[in-house]
Amino acid sequence: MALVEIDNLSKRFGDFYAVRDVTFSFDRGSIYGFIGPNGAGKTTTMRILATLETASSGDLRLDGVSVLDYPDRVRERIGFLPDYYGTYANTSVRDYLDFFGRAYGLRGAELARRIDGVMEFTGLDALAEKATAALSKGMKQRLALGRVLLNDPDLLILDEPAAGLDPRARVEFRELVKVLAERGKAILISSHILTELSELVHGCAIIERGRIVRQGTVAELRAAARESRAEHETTAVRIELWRDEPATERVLTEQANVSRVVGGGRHYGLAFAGDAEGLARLLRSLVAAELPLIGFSSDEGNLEDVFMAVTRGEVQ
Amino acid sequence: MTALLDRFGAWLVDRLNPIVVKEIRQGMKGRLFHAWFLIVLCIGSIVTLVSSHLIDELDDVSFGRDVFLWFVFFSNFLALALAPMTAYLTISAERDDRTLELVDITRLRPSDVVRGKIFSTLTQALLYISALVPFMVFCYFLRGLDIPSILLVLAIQVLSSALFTTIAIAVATSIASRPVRLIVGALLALGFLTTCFLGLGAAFEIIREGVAAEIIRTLGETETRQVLAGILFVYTSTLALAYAVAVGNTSFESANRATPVRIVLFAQWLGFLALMTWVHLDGSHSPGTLVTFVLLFFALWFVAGFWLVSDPGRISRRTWRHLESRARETRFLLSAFLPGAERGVVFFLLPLIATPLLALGLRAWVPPDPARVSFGRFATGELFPVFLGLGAAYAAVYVLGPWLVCRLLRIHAAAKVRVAIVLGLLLGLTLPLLTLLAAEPQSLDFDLRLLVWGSNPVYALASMAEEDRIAWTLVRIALPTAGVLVVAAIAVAARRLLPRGPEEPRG
Repeated sequence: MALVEIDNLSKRFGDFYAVRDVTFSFDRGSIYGFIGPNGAGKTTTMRILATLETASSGDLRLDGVSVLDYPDRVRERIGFLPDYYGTYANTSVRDYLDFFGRAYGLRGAELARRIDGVMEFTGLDALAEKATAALSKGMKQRLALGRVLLNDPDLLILDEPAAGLDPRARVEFRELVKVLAERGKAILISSHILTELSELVHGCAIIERGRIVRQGTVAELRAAARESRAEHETTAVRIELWRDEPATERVLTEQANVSRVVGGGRHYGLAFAGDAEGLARLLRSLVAAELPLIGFSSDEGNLEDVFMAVTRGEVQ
Repeated sequence: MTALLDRFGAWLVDRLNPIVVKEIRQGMKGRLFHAWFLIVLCIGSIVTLVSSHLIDELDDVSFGRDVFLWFVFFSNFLALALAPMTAYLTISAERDDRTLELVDITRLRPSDVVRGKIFSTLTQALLYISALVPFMVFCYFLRGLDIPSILLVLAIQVLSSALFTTIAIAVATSIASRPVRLIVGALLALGFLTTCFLGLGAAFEIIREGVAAEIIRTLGETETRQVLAGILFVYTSTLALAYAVAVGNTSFESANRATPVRIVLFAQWLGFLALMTWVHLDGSHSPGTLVTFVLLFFALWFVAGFWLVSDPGRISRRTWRHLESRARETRFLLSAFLPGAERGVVFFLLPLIATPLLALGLRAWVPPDPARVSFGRFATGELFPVFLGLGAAYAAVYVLGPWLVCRLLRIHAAAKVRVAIVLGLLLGLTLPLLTLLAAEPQSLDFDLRLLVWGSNPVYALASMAEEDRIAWTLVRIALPTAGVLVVAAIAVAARRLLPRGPEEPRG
């Protein structure tokens, strides 16, 4: 029996299904990725697992205990890191952790030991007296991680933890997550930065319009994506610009044989139907359109390609 | 010695509610607390210095009382306006930053969170007031004051601060939309500031009339006991209701939010009946007192009804099974206490229908005593059932009308149902007033004026105490008119203002 089991979970708002028949499971020591476009139902699923919302049907179990039937018992064993930091004004790092430690029922020497432990683990010990509001985004995210670790949970639910972090903070945060998995924690993580997620997760589920469209280990998903691409005769193309160019999306969409465009800013992904000669024509066309191009590659091996292959970019 | 104090401090902090510890630490580190504390000390010092100087020039026996009222005004502001609004703004900020739900998934229960907020706010208010207490004691030596009056004024301030803070928390946790919370916050602040002035008038009366000493002297008399019991009933029931609503709002949607609120309401209803029966049997009351109590009761039931009918009832399966199994034997009686908007409506209606019936029964049980007729027709029981029936019908129209509209338009979100009910209530209360202001009331036909007047429950109920003929006319014409008008207005407003369809999903 896996530590976390989500079984035919559905969440309905009136006639609208935010999540529909979602089923997946993962065990201790594993990092499970949860991928999907905005509005796909990732956060809703995570919030139900974190006991913050109820489900319309189905069940979720943590170590065999139903999240819907026994939310109080489950709350003691989970740590939820939402997509916001949740810091307080006029509160130092130590006071913040002290408050949440007390809220988790810790007192006296045990509380002090746990606070010291998480501050050391997250690298916040040098900032113990600094106001939480004055911390950088990366440090706030570490503080939030420290908050959920105070309870020593079995399951960590991390909703877009890398969003808004600079590259160094992302890498450092990723390393912390890996260490936690090595220590036996089960981790459910959602992210938009799929290249990073592919280096981190052991398995993942891709959700679109509330339904799981593909799930498995990263290797299984890659194989499935290759099959899908062969079937649809498309190639995933990744484009990198040296600066943000507002007209990029329009230029890319107008290109022949380009069926989908995702991404934004300096990084884009395309679904391209064509052979190598077609790719060369596409590259020439983009250069002629004066896009500030510094990267152009067709890649068939990472999670981003899998995501491109199995989702349709539909929002609900 | 320092080590001993540190150990005692740590021991104490470990036993306090974590919210209280956090809020006090935050408050002490904030500039606002220091600024207010400094202002309190400065004002206290200035008023004391000036009054010390003036006491030699004036030979006024009530000088101490006048100076004391200055301090009362300032401490009223701190306890009755600043403290509750601080709680309101803190909760609002926590809702906006979504830190409240991070606390919810710890081991702290919603009741711990609400109690922590109340006690931390009260602690800060007490710290402010404690800075003024030495100056207040100084006033005693300036003559015109007695110790029981000072203590009574301070006790009323502290108790009122606790009540207003709880109400502020209940309101802040009830409203999800930030703009609505800002508007309601402004109205609430205005209400609290008005109460500061009213409180000043009350303090003046308490000191001038020596109310504290009078209460002690007449404690054995029925009238004093009835007044005290009435005040205690209104205070405790309002505090309990606000607390239960605040805890309910802070709880998870999977928890049973409804039953505790309904138990408080039920206890409140029983208390109201007991009080009214006591007053009725004794016959030593005035119609004005009765009107005040009934208006307060219905005001609370308006609020409660609005909360009850918007209860989503999305509780966890286990809680539901547990409740159902407990209710099996007495399902008929207890089902109204279970979560769900429809059961809320049933719960809301039952006491409102039962109250006039019980009043009628009481009238049959205790025949009118000719000696009591002089107190008006209320005391005889003749008008009492009509009075309650009219109030019950208004409450039903103003809450049930919008609820019905929401159901017809398939508006399910609790927040939207509440908006519709508030709109219905506001329209019902303000439209007649605006109509009367717009048209010349003198030129209106008497019956037409009654029609407009009658659609406002507060006017209608108050008028019943003054003139029976108007009251009976209102019963005939006002109810159907008000009902149709409000439901029609809400139907139009709800269709235009409230978007249909599901809630916005996350993720």
